[in-house]
Amino acid sequence: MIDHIGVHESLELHELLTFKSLCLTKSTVMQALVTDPALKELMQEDVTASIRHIEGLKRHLT
Amino acid sequence: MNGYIEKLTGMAPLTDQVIGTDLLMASKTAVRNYSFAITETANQEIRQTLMDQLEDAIDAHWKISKYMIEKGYYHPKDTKKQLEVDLRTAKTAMSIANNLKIPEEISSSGIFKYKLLLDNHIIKVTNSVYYFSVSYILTL
Repeated sequence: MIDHIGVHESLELHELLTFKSLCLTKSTVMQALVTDPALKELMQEDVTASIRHIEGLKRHLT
Repeated sequence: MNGYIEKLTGMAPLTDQVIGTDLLMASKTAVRNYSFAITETANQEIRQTLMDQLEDAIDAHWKISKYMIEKGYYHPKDTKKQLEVDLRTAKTAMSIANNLKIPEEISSSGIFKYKLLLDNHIIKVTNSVYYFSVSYILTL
């Protein structure tokens, strides 16, 4: 896959991957500090979606 | 360490608000990042992946916005009220930054080192995300 994409496309994917990894880490770690169950659930949803998104981005990079 | 945790627990409502705000900012940034990335790609498969993820990001932003509005943290239709919230948040952030010294045992413990590591990682990401994460770490 990586051979068929341009440098700028691969850079964009890298940037998104870094951004999503940071979001995933934050949502995972910060859940421990949250008291409101509704907020906790929103964060858990974010974790689940982020994992799926990161897998999707990685598929284009490897 | 315990005193520090007590301080944290005492600030629980604030922590929820700060974390909620950060989640909202992150979701806004995600929508922007995906849109920019889509305009930079010519590969149809990558485009489709990004468009699908953009749609998820827009949905997530709507959910988080709705939560923040219901909680009274976010007033998109009432500028005056929003300004009051923002000014109060700024004041709290300043007083925490001025008064809360991170104890030695915390700063040398694993979790803080981990946060510093995270911090280094953040520099590579957009400035706004970096800025909010730093204000986060200060608030913690």
